[in-house]
Amino acid sequence: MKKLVIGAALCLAAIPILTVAQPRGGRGDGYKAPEGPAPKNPWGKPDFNGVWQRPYVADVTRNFGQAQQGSGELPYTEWGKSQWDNYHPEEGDYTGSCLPFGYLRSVNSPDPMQIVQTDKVVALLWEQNTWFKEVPIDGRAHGKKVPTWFGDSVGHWEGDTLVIDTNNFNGLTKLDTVGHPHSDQLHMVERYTRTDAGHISYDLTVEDPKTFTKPWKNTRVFTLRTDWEVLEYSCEENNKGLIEGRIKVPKTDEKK
Amino acid sequence: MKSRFLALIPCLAFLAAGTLQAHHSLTAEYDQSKKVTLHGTLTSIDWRNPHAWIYLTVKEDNGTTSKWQCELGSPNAMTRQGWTQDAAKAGDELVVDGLLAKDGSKTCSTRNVKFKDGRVLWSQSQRPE
Repeated sequence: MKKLVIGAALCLAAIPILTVAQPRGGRGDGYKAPEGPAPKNPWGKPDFNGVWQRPYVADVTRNFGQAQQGSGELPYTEWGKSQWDNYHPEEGDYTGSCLPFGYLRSVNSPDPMQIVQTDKVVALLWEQNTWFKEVPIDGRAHGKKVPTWFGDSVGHWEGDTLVIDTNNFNGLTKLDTVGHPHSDQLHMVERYTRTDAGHISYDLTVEDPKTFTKPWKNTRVFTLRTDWEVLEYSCEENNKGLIEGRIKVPKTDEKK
Repeated sequence: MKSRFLALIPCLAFLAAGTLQAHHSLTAEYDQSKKVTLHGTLTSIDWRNPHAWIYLTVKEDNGTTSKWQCELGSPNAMTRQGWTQDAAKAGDELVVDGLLAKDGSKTCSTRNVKFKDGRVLWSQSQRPE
């Protein structure tokens, strides 16, 4: 695995050239995002409703074109470094097994995300495995719930920026495809700012004192796709790698 | 045997993995050090999520044939790029570049699918022409 990581590092400069690179206006497929000022809802806040194209972020440390500014090298604690050094997906691949990707890895996913918004709630609808998250924005505080794959989210407004604060994770997921770790102490703060009619500026701060010595950030650009819809995506339907035994199901009784 | 195993440059393998199938870990299932090129006849296409599959009959050098299966990207992503499962039909002769499964079965993760005349099918990095 570490040889792969080293290979990845050697390829650092080349990858954005490929499809993970995403121009601000879309994937270079001729689509032109709407122009003009950011629209607002009747209650006076920015309107995030729509289907959004996001950069596929396989590695949160890295930049992918203009659409993702990565964190650079992560500030691991000793425990976090040990988790990273000992990740072996061939011994158990939770996403390959169709277990929930978790919150950040869903935000990172390559397929579109739809946002449905009212004055009381924001719903994030991911095409990836047809998962969703509801984020109340009615002023409530975090509840004391059972820790989950996607965590507990509450939102509030800071001016025209929607801030989503998420904690209470079960610690069973990875932060990205290459397997950067986190623990059940993960805390995510996301800031959504609709900069114009066609784009969202997305700012992510991650802290996890068990895994990282200090907080770190990603910033991304999402593009409104008026020509796309979110399609059904069943991970379980034809997952031949799992069905035929090539993908191993990891243990899920070892909370991190 | 018409499948040709080549030592893969690690960088290219990583790039291919990251590009085509990276919403879950490629290394969990496929050996990035083993590249295969298959010259075969398309038997069928299975156009379902999370990954489409193509099934091939491959002629070996000794005159026998073998059955192969190769994994593509998600039908959703390919549909969004303009591809359909009708881009090829059973009986078409194809050339598939892929990575071999770690379990030793005749299974590959597809990097490219080409007609014998060089036209490229279902590549996630290209739109249909």
